[in-house]
Amino acid sequence: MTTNPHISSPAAAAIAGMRMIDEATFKAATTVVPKGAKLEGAMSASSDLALRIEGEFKGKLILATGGAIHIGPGSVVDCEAMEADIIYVQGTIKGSVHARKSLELGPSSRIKGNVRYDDRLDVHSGARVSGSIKGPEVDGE
Amino acid sequence: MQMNTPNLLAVDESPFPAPSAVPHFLTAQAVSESASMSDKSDEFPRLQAAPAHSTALPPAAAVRELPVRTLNLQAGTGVAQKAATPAAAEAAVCTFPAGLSFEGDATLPCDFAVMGSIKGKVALTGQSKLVIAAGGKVEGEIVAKSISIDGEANGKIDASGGLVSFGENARCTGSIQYGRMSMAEGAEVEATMKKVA
Repeated sequence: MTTNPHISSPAAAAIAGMRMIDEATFKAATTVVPKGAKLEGAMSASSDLALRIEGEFKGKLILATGGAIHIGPGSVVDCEAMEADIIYVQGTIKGSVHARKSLELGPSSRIKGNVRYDDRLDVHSGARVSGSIKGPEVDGE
Repeated sequence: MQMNTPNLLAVDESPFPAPSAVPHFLTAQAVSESASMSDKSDEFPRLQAAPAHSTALPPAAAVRELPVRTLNLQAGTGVAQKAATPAAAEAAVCTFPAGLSFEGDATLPCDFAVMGSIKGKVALTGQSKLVIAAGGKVEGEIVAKSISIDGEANGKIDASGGLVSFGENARCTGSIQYGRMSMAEGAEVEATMKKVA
């Protein structure tokens, strides 16, 4: 299976596969910022955690290798930096987002700022991005 | 002929769940385990569509990609909401896992269990309960109606009119305002305590 997004038929399967991996990743995710909660500051993790944000978060959010972040529907995030291997967005983000592997923008995602992904990007119909998107310039191995 | 092709296919594919019958996310494990299977189930709609545009392959591919995307998309949101809503919002218990550290202000409307490390202010609104589990650490200010500490807490603890309880692994320094207090044997507490009803 190729990861080249220009090849349409296997790419869909590849994306589908990626999507599935994401599901599994977030099944065990812990909700760190629940609905109605407000966190402001810097959050970081040294282990491979899967986190979910459903409330308001402002600041920095840096996860180490293996880390995954789910920005849930209805959440509002204002981040000078957000970094993790896998990021799945369904909420609103203002600021910088950096996914070291996959970045998926769900249909309800609203992003204003700088987006960076190092391997795969999936934008669903309905997602809104205003700002820059920076991805890998060469096809991955 | 056009009827036969899909029928034959349907028979061929019968050991696998038809994509339309079973939501994609239910087969997630199977799909991720064998990519070939996901290929087959993905090809299913295209082969049905193919006789209609028998000459043009690109449209068929385009037709095929769309349903796959929408399926996944719905599966994604569905699963996420299912997982998120009952656990986080309804049950309103939130955990701060071990290995995670946070510096700053946190205001939460729900019960909060800390297993990681927090520096700054943690405030729980309403009657919510804060638990600092063994291994968890909070440095700074804690405001909650009910606080249970079995980890480490340094700083100001404000449970005015509420309950503060220390487990046997608790280590605490600073100042404590409490309504009621309980302390297990083994707890190390060095703090100024003030009863505030």
